Amino acid sequence: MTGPRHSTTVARHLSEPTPLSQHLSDDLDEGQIKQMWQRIDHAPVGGRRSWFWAPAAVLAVLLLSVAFFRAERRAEPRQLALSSGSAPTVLSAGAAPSASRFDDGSQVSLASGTRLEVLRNDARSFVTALRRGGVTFDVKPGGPRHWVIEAGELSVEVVGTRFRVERGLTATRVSVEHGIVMVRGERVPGGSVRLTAGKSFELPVPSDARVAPAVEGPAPLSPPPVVARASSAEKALAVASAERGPAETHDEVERFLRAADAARQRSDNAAAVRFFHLALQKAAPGDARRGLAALSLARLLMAGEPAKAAAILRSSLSDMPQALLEDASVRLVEAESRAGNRTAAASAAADYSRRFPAGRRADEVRRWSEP
Amino acid sequence: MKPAIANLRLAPEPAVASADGIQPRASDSELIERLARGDHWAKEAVYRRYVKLVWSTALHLMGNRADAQDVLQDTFIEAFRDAASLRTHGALRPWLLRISVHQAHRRFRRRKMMRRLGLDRSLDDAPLAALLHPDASPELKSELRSVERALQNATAAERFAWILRYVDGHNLEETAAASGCSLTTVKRRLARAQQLVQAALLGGADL
Repeated sequence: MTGPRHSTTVARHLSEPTPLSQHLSDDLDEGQIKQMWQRIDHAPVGGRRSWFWAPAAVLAVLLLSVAFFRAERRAEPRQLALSSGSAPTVLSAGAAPSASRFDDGSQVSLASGTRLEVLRNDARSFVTALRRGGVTFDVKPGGPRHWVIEAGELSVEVVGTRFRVERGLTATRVSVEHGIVMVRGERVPGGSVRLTAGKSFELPVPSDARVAPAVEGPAPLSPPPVVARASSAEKALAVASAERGPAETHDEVERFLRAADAARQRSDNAAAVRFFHLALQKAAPGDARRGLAALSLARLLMAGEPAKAAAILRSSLSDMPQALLEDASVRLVEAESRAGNRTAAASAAADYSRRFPAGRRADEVRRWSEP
Repeated sequence: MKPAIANLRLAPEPAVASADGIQPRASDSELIERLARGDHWAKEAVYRRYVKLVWSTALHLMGNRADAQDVLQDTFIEAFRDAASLRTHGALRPWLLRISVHQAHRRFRRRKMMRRLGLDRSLDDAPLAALLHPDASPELKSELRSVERALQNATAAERFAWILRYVDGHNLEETAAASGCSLTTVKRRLARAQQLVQAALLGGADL
């Protein structure tokens, strides 16, 4: 027990010839002494405790532990979580499709403009409501949860399979890639239909609840009619809002974006262009939805009117949410290139490289900007 | 320099032996006789005389007040129940000490198992460092913490032997008797524990 540290510290404090207990303060006060005596004096005097009961006691402890843990699990059912660890409440896709993977291995792929709300999520069931758009569900077979998708009048029940549910303005469609799906609904023949791999079911939306097409005839691509047609577009929007019910938003920009999504769902690009224009006009500078509307609009105009798409993108880059900025920057290079503006394309490509020095889409940008 | 812990003089008599407040003063052998006959006064007299010895031993060994209270209670209950056999065992003090160490061992093993099963979440609220007098230096406190951490790597028997010898100040024979083992065995246990303590003190807070 010798050494430099020991000789300086321990020796300084413990060199006096006393046991360490002399430095300790562990006395009992009279109250504690009396209290403990009461316990001892009143303790039953019996024989030595028999080991006969020991296995029974261990068994009882184990049973109690199992019961406790089971009760605890029942009290807090485990939710299905995204692979990021958070429990989903709403899954939605904006201008671009998106996919979400769950911690049980299941996956959902959302088409652009889709909104899927989670109604119930616990250890036994996962119930969602498809408000709009289309979702491909890839539910892991043998999972512990019963998946239910409410899509308007239809209720789709599944345990493990891959299938797609689309909720359009004219019909709701369920198609199964593999596995078995049960579709229920008041207007489903017989109340329910069982779909196996390769089968699909479509339930038309009643004509009185169907949205009138936003635009009849050939769809002009130029924006000038926007103001002139705003009233007819808004009329269609009112019908669409009525169909979607009171839970829908009264926010104008949001309503135009939703109407544009609905138009794209029914492949009505002209109506979608006009609704995106309206959303772009109504959104205040700095509103992230302005960027979203601009990018969506530019993508729709890209093939037919690239110069216009370029102009829209250029003027809205400052409003673009960070998550969309890279895509918008690439689209701008593409639009300028498609419009034949080589110099502007090179300039946009240089801007992209400055903003995203290690950009994932650098090759794409280079291809569009090369002479 | 001679090791400081080795410099510690071992207490020859428990401080409580002369201050139990039992009147009229009765000798241990008289108490044993009366205890064997189930005399209630003798039970309380024995308790009063040795409660502080058993308490401090239990508290130092267990490092936990609740466990120390249980050890104390079980020690006296066992002693009163088996008092008839004491006449062949000699003195009261080492006998009680041995029972208390045995009870501490039992409870220590059970606590370890329960903690391993996750069924005991109690905290050790009375480690040696926490029992230091308020005027004790921070260095001493720090060293005691290091010593306790080091003793966690020792077996319960080694740790108990070290505490009985160097904390409570019992001599080797008393430590061996209290531990219920031979002198050779207790020396081996002490040597092993001392090795760990020495490494901890030389290594400082790194342990």
